[in-house]
Amino acid sequence: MSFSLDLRRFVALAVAGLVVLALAALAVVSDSPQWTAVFAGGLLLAAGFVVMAPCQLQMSGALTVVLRNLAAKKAEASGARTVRRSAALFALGYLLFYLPIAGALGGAAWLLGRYSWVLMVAGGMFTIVLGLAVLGLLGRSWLSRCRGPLYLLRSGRASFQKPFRAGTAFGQYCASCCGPYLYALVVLAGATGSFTLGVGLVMLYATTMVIPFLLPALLAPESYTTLSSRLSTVLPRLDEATGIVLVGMGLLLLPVAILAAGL
Amino acid sequence: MSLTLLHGTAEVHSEEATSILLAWNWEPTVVLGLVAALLGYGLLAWRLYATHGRFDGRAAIAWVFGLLAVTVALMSPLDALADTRLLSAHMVQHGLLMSVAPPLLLLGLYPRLVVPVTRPIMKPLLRDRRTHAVLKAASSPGLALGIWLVVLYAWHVPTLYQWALRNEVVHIVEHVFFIHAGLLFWLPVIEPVPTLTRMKLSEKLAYLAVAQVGTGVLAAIMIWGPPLYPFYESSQTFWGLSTVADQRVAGLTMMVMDMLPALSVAGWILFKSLTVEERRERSINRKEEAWRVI
Repeated sequence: MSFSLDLRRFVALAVAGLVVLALAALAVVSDSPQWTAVFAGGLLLAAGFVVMAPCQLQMSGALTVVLRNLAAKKAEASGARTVRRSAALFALGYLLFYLPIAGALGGAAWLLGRYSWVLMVAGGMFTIVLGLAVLGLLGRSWLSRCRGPLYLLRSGRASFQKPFRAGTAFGQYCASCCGPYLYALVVLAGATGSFTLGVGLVMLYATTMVIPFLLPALLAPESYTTLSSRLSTVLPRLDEATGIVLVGMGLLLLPVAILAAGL
Repeated sequence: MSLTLLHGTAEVHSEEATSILLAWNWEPTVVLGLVAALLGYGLLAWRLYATHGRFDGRAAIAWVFGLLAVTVALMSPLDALADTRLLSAHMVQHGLLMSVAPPLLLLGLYPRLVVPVTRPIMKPLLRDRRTHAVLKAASSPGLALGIWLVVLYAWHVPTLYQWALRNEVVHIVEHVFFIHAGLLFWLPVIEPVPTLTRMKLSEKLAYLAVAQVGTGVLAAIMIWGPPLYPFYESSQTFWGLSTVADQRVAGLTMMVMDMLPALSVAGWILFKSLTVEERRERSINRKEEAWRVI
């Protein structure tokens, strides 16, 4: 997948990045741990919608693939009941997959304590690399095949025949991208001192992803028929948006990690 | 039976807790307003059914749930809890008024229901060049977003926020501001009726993202910042929650209550735009077929 960068957008992003770095420097220089935490947390929460929206829309895309496969197997499978049941199982698979992830992230923050910022830096760099891979800018790297749920489907690592397993596969995809962001959030929230706080916050995130995903499936299941016919145009654009978001998120995590190190 | 002291602050007695949790506020103006809104909608829906033989049931359900969200915010025990004990409960109330009720109410409206009422008013205004320009400026998404952010931040400034807690009239004004700012904010996104300024799908998503940046920053101040509202320090806590913990939960609540509608509506506008695209394509294909036959 090729990616073209508009010069004006690049300049706008660069200016925004410089402003953020300048404010970060101010926060550090102010020598106030409280306002440093506010600034770092503010950066993460401000980016929340931009991080979650592409992923949540891809969840709908992934469910559409499941429904198509079910419809191919059984002629009567495209009804409202099938959509609702599949969405519920997909969501359950996703949430159950996130339980051990929540434990891992919360546990990592709790165990690493005041050195948890190191993993934040590593997470930020990994996210940038992942974003560049999704955008197709890493030619032959093993990451270049990572194209989101479509990769999981093509590689055969996900079963898009069964909604529950597709949900767990999507959870795996989601956690690998959002994991560093979530980890940074739980560290700043104080999970270095409380394991259950970390776990609770990650599960809250997963639940916040699942509810908007379930609503159209439960209330307007016929909308999945439209999404199915438009999937080939929607998913590549979502993939590109995801790549840009990942690079941006990685760049954001680096100053946040530095701020967290100073706390 | 009183509970033990926790974190150096006194806990609410369990009998008092029960009385707060059962305290419904049947404010006459609120009840009248809600009943009028319900009856007004019912009348319009009945008129539509009488003329066209149908009306949108799902939109009606959205309207009812929107009114229910307002009822819970203003009349349920949540109101008492928010006014006297918990900042986090107050955030739930604000979230319902700004981010839950307005999109539900707007989803309850659609052109066939509303235009017969608005057309006699709007048509002469739109015909006049000056009023048309004023209406266009007033319906600008940038203005709606700006108003929403200003209202959100202004009413969370400690001085104003605590004044609202101590003065019932100011409190009512605050709630009126929240509901109207919410309706104005969600209008260009949900577009229940054709508006003068239309946004593309990408612009709507960017609009939602900018709003969430605003919410995120305010939520961060509440979660990680110093205690903002001394009012709650003087009142007794609830469920063993210290005032610091209550403020943190309030920030988190604000974030989640804004994020859920934003993500839900983002998905809805994507589905809607795809449906419109498909209908447009089918209509073009039908016209092409018709030409071929000719």
